[in-house]
Amino acid sequence: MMLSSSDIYQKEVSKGMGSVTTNPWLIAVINMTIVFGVLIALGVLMNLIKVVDPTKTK
Amino acid sequence: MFDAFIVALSSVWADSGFYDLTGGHCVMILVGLILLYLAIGKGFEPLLLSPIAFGCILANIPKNGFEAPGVMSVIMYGIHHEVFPPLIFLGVGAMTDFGPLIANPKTLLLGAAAQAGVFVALLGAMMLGFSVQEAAAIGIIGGADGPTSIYLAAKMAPQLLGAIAVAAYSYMSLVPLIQPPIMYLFTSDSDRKIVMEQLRPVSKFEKIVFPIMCTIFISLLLPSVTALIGMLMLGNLFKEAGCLDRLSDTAQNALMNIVTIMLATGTGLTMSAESFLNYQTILIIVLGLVAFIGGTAAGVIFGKLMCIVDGGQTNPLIGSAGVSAVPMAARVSQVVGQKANPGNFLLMHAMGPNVAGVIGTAVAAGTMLAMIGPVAK
Repeated sequence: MMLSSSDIYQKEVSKGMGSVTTNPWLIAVINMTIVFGVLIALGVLMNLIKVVDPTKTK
Repeated sequence: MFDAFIVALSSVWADSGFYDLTGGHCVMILVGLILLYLAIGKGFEPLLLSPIAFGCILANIPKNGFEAPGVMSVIMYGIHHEVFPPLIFLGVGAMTDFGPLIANPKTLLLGAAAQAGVFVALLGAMMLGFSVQEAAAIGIIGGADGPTSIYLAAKMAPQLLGAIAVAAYSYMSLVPLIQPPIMYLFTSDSDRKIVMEQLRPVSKFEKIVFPIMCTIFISLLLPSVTALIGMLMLGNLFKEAGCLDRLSDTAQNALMNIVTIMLATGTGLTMSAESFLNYQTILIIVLGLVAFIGGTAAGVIFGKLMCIVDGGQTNPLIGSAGVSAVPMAARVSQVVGQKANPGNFLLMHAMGPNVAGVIGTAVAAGTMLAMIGPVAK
């Protein structure tokens, strides 16, 4: 049987679990934002390392 | 005399495994034998599948005494307390070349996009009645990263560890079968023929500094995955430093092989009939496939978007490699690309999103741990 978001929320609340949120859509959106954010930041870090590379050929 | 013999014989029989053998045990021993056949007879990931299959057989021998202190309890400790996944990551790091990723950082986005499959499965799992922790652990199968799947399952859904580990490793070995139809579905013939320009050479300085900076940044942001990211990058530092060849060699070969034996056998040991033969296992296997397909599709679609934005410089086929499964997913991109254009060499380009996917899956796991939290042990 398929459960709605509110059913899922009630189920988790009744279990007394300490998560920030139990809304799967919210978890997905926040998580994808963080994954993209971290990997973009790594890209910036890579470019920064390239810029400060003392061994690079002019 | 005869009575004493009969009593002794009955006692031996009552103490034997046959006495307590159930139909469930027989089914799981049969599953183990089939997996052994697939591994040895058919060559499906034999290095992983053989110990998993043998562990499955051992776990279903009644009265095996594995709960008592001994080598099996040590192996199970390593599984349940997340000892082995970071050690596997040490070996993976020592075998990984981040050069293609550093040379073309925009491929990081493909590794991020392919994580969408994780959340498709998470959504599906919650709708099917799994708790949020269980759904998160099931979803991470979509990252196609066995060690991370086991790491998260041990923390968030230890009762589902066997099914999750088996699904993750099974789909990883089936990458060459699962991915190509999805890649063909979302790309045109002209997309697949795109030849990407050669990557720039990456200096030794960049290759040494990247793992150090990456560890510091990600570990500070998501401390719960420090063990995974830290060991991955330490292994990579062994490889790139140039003065740590002995450590790099050990991490890549001896240690990797030893830990693979422990991890794979331990995964098999979690497949006891009591915890494996249920409706949830079937759901997990199906959700894992959905996650895998979703991740591959998201990677290819994002690759197509990137191709449009950069004026046709990116071959969308490399997007599918964002689901980790290093280096098999990158090889699939190469094979499909070369079928469309025999002069196309996508392997090194696909390694960028491939290793970005490993980092992306670890970040997704860390974010879920931070948001949802592990279950109390």
